Amino acid sequence: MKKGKGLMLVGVLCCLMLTACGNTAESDNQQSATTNQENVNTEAQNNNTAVTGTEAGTSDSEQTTDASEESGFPTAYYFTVDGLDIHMDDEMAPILEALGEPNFYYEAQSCAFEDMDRIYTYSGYEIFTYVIDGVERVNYMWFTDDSRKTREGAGLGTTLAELEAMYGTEYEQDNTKYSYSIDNCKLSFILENDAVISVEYNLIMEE
Amino acid sequence: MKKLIRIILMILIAVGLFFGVQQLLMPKYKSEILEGSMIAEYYQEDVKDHDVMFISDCEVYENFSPITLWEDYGITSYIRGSAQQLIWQSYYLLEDTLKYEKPKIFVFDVLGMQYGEPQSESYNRMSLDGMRWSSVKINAIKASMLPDEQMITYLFPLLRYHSRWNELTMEDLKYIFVRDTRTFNGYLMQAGVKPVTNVPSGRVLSDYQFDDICYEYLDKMIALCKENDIIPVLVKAPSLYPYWYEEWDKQMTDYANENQLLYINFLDVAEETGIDYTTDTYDMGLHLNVYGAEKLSAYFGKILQDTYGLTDHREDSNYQDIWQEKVDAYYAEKARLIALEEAKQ
Repeated sequence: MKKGKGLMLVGVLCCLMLTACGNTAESDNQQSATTNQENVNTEAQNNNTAVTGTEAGTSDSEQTTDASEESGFPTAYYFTVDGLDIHMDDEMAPILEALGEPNFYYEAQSCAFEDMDRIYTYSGYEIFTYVIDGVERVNYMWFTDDSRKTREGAGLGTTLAELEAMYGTEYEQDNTKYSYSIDNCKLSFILENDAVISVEYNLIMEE
Repeated sequence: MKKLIRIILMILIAVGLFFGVQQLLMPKYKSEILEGSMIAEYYQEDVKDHDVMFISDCEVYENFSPITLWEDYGITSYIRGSAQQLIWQSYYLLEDTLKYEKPKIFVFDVLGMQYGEPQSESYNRMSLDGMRWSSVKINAIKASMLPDEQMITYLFPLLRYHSRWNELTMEDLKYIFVRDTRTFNGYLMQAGVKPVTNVPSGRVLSDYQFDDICYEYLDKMIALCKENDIIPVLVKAPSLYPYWYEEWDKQMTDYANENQLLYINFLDVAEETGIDYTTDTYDMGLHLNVYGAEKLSAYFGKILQDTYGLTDHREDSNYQDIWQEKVDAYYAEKARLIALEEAKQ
């Protein structure tokens, strides 16, 4: 009888162990799903950008948005090309349909995982995408030459004073990189000798 | 007394069940995401006595073939590679390797300098879970953990993988205690062909300087090699993407000069190696396929032999049988993969 109780105890312990597991929402095969997010964060980290937590990011964004509305600064960051507005996390398929075939296309598959970053090169800019829940979405854009400008008029060669006039002084500075964040988009400018040498839009992923 | 025995027995059963369930639930990485099993495979090597030890990320385990080094030069080598292996993980894997053998040459791919912070839990797992338990592994975990990771989940992976119970397959049962190898001395073979058509230019960075912590671990690797009479060699594999910046290359060239190390950027000599990016890559230049890896290894092997005079073991009976078995398995897998590729067309 006692032996039976002991075995039951072991069995119950095991069941509890597995039952608890079953309630866990996360799945281990989400490894590949999370990798996309990781890749995006990696991009930010590659550029030595401080990746802030979602809460902090949201809070900052809200403050920026409120301040922006009062000050006349933009209330959203997105890129417009040939009349098409491209926001971070937009689906790529309609964008591709509107823009047509890119000059170049490149696929970079993640090591080990099946996730793939896709890079579409158009004249003067490149769009990077990732796939989440089976849908390809935009997570990064940058200007490859001085033929492109942001909606506010910034491009390669713009000075810091001009950026401050366009976007304000509420930026996050990391070395020579100045970043403005609203909602899910971080708009960054890298300067050299007081002239912008890089403009990029980066998706801020929710954690 | 009987009661005590019963208690001990119950504890043993509980512990056994715990570890049994843990073994069952841990990913086996045998039919997919093979990269996850590579670190553990090293311990299955019968003879841990290699002339050359590669330790780094995919730039080594996809681009260098130890079988070619053996066939062409009689050089014995092993690759302890893992996906997105971070430089501190490479350092601790070197420390771990030195518990089993002292290679003559240690090869590190400098793309590992690009990350100054832990990147991803999934990749951490693939580099760390397969390491045998020791203080080295604990230090590797401490150095690698992201803020939301917990040491206890590495100590007891069941706490990490518990939710896999409803995803278990026959593979989990088959490899619960015994795991065969999927690589050829750490080389992960690919036989597909996807030619390079163009390569994106490198994005502008605000700071090209490698992180201090990367230099710290590079220094530690070099010092550890010197303490153990191992010659460190730095390489940059001829992968075209991620972009390898000139500013990065200069830092590595300067570092190698300051420390009197051999540094080879294979991107600069890709043509000389014979690599053809229209046929020798399976993913548009990120990694080489087996044809490219064989060419690169043949080229690198000559440098190693000419520079360091490594002994040719091909006539040594202590090595012949072991390596012949590896060579046979390698060509069998190569034939299988080529047939699969042909069937796709």
